[in-house]
Amino acid sequence: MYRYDGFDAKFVAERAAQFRRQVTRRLAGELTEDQFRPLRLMNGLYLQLHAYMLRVNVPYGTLSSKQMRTFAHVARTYDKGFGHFTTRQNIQYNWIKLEQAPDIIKELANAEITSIQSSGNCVRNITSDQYAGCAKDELSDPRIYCELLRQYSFLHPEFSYLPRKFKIAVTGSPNDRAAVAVHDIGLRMHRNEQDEIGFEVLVGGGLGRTPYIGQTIRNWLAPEDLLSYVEAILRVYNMQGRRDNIHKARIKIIVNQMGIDKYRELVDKEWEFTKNGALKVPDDEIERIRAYFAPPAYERLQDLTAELAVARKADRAFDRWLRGNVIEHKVPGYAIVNVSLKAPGRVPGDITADKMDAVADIADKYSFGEIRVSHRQNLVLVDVKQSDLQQLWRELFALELATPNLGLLSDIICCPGLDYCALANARAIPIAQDISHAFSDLDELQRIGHFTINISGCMNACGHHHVGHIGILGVDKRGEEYFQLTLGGSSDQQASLGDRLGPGLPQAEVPGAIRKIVDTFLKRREHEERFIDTYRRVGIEPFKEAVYGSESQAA
Amino acid sequence: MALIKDGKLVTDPFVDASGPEALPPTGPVLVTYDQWQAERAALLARGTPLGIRLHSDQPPELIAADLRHFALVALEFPKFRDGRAYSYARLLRERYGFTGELRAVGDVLLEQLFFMLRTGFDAFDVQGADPLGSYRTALGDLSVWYQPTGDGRPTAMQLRRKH
Amino acid sequence: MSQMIIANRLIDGLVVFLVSGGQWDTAIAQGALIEEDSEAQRLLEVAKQDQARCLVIDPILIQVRVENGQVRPTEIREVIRAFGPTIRTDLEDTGPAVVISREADRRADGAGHLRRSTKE
Ligand code: SF4
Repeated sequence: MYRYDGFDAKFVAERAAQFRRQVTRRLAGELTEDQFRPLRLMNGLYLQLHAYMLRVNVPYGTLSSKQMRTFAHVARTYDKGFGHFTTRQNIQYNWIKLEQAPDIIKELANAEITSIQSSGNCVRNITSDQYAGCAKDELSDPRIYCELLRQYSFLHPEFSYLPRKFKIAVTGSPNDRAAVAVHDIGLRMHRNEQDEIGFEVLVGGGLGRTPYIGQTIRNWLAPEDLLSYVEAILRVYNMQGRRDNIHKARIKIIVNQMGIDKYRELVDKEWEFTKNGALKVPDDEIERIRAYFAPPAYERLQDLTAELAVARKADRAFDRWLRGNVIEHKVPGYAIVNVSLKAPGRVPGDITADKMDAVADIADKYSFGEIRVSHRQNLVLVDVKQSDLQQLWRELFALELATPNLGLLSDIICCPGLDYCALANARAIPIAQDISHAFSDLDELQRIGHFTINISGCMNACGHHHVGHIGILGVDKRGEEYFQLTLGGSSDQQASLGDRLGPGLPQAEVPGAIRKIVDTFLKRREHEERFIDTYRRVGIEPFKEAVYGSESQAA
Repeated sequence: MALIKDGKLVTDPFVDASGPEALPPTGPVLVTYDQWQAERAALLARGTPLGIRLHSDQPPELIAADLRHFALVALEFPKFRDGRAYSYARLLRERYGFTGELRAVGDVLLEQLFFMLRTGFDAFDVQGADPLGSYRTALGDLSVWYQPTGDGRPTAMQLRRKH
Repeated sequence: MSQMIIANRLIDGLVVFLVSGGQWDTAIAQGALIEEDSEAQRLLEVAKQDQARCLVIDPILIQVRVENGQVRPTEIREVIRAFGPTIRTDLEDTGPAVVISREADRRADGAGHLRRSTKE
C-alpha cells in the first residue's frame, strides 16, 4: 500500500501543528465558535449530540495492521473503547475531547493517517472497491488513481470552499462495488476501442434530499488527463454551483438544472485551457505510485478446491461461512475473506479496540498485514491462503467476526442516527438491531438470498437508504420517530433509486413490515431470483398490499 | 481595517469610490463593475490608476478584455465560505495574464492565507488586532503543496521528480 | 412542565446542564429546574455569556418533566443527549456489548424509559 515519503510526512505534520495552534486559540477565546467551526470541520471534528466526533480517513478503504492498531489505541486512550466504520470507508469516534484532539491527530499522523477533509465543503475521502488489486473481475487497480486524487485534493487552494461537499469514487472492475453512480464524480475504468485503459466519467450522482444517479459526462478519459479533467469539473462547479441554498448546492443540482450536455460543454471549454498544462500526470508518477501497490509476495499455489470440499463437508458452519463470506481471488491458491461487522443484534460497523487489535494480528498472520474497509461497513482480508482458511475461520469465529451473512438481509448498512448524530430525525441503530435479531436464522437468510437493507436517520442519507433493496429513512412526525420504506434501490452497475412504499411506520412496526415484504417476495419469486429481480418484475403493488393491506389500493 | 500587500502593511492609495459619494477629482480610485460600465470614458479620462471591485457573482470574464486599464482588481469574499474568488483569481492570473494588484476584500480570514496566495492574491484587506503578526504566523503554517497553480511554488510531485 | 438549559462544554464537548449556582454539570439531576418563562430568559442570557466566555457551545432551553423523582426531557433528542445512546444491549445474542452510555445506570434508566415511551 502507499507509504508517505518525506513530503507527505511533512505535510501532515505541519497540518497537525496548525490544528494544534487553532485549538489553542479557540480554548483561549481568540476564536469564536463561528470562526472555529470550519477549521475543526476541515480536520474532521464535528460537535455531535454527546461530544465531539472525530472522523478519520481510511483512504480508499485500505489500511495496514499497524494503522488498525493505531485506531485501537485511539479508541482506548481517547474514547470509550470502540469505533464506528462508516459508509465512506472511514472510522468515527464518538466521545472526543477538544483539548485532546490535537494529540490524537498527531498520533494519527505518525501512523500516516489523517482526518483532513473528512468534513467540510471540499473533496472528501476518495472511496473505492474494497477488493481493489485482488478481485478476479478487476480490469486495473483503482488505488493508484485514488492516491493520485487524494494528493491532488488535499488542501486544494482553489477548491477548499466549494458550494458543498464533493465525493469521488473509483472502480477498476465492471462489477461496481464502490457505488460510483451515486457520487459527485464516479470513475469507471474500462477499455476503449484501441484497447487502452481509461475512465468513464460520471458526474452529478448523489443521495441526500434529492437523489440522482450520475450521468456520463465523458466516455473515455486517459489516465494522464485525470487531474486536469477533474479540475475542469471542479472549477465549473465552484463558479456555477448554487450558494444561496444549502439544499441545492451539490453538483447534482446544477448538472440536472442545466442538463448534462451543457455541463459537458462548459467543462470541455475549461479543459481546453488546462489539458496540456502542469496537471498532466507523467507516466513515471503513475509508475511511482503503482510500485507501492505492487502485489505482495504471493506463493505459487494451486486452488485447493478438493481439499476445501472435504473440510466443508465435515463442517457445516465452515461451509456456510466459506460460501457466504469468502470471494475468489485473482491469484490461484488465495482467497478474499470478508469479516462481518454485522453479528445479529450488534451495531453495524461498530468494533471494539480489542477486536481491532485482534483483526490486526490476524491480518499479519494471514493476509500480508493489510485490511480493507468496505462501504457496506465490513472489514476485508484480501490476501488469504486457501490453506489457512479453516484456521482463520476458527479465529474469526471466536471473535464473533465470522457471521456468514455477507450480502444477505442482516448485512445491514446503518448510519449512527439519533443515538449519536446531531442532524438525525430518528434512531437508526435500534432498527438495524431489531431486524438483524428477527432475521438471525442462517438457513432462512440463505434461502432469502442477496438482499440489502440500508438505514438512514435523516434525509442526508449517510446510510444510503435510496439504494438499498429496502431503504429505511427516519423521519420526525410531530416529535415521534417514524420510518419511511423504499423498495427497489440498488448501487451496483445497474444503480437505481428506491420507490416509496407508503406512509411512514412507527419503530415497533418496522421489523414486521420487513417480514411481510420478505414473505411476499418468497411467494412471488421465480427460480432462484434475487429480491431486486423479483421486485423489478412484479413492481411495488404486491408489497404495498402486504404491508398496508388492500385498502391501500383504494387510497 | 488594514491592507497587507506583498507581506507588508501599507496605506491604501486607492480611494474606494464604490459608495454614493462623488468621485474624488484626482488620484487612484476603486470602482464597482457597474460604475465601470456606466462611466467608462470618464474614468479613463482621469488618467490616474484605476481599480475595479468584483462581487462574487461577477466572474472575471466580464472584464477580461479591459484588464489593461486596471492596476487593481479586488475580489470579494462575501463570506469566508464563498470560494468563488479562488477560481476567479486563478483565471485572472493564469488565463487572462493579469499582473497588477489582486486584492482579497470582504470576509478575509488569514486562516485561508495560503489558499489566497496560491491562487494569485498578493494583497489582503484584513481585520484584527495584529494583522501583520497573524499574517506571518499563517505564512509559517505550511510548506508542502500538491497542486500546481500559477504562483510557481513547486509541488511535491515536481520536487520528487527532480530527485 | 419545567424547563432547563442544556449545552455542550467547549473543552470536551460533553453535554452539560446549567446548575442554579450558575455552574454547569454533566448530570441532568443537578440541572436547575426553571418554572417561570421570565426566569428562563434570564438564565438563557447567563448561559449565552458563558458561550461568549468560551465555556459552552449552543446553550438552549429544553422542556423537562419530573417522573418518579427523575428529571427527563420531553423530546427524544434531548433524552438521548441527557442519558446517552439507546443502543440495545438486552437482546439475548447481543452479548456483552461495548459500554456505550456515559454511565451504565443512566443508560438503563434513560433507554428503558425511552423505548417504552415510543412503543406506547
Ligand atoms: S443520515 Fe442523517 S442521521 Fe444518519 S448520520 Fe447522516 S446526517 Fe446523521
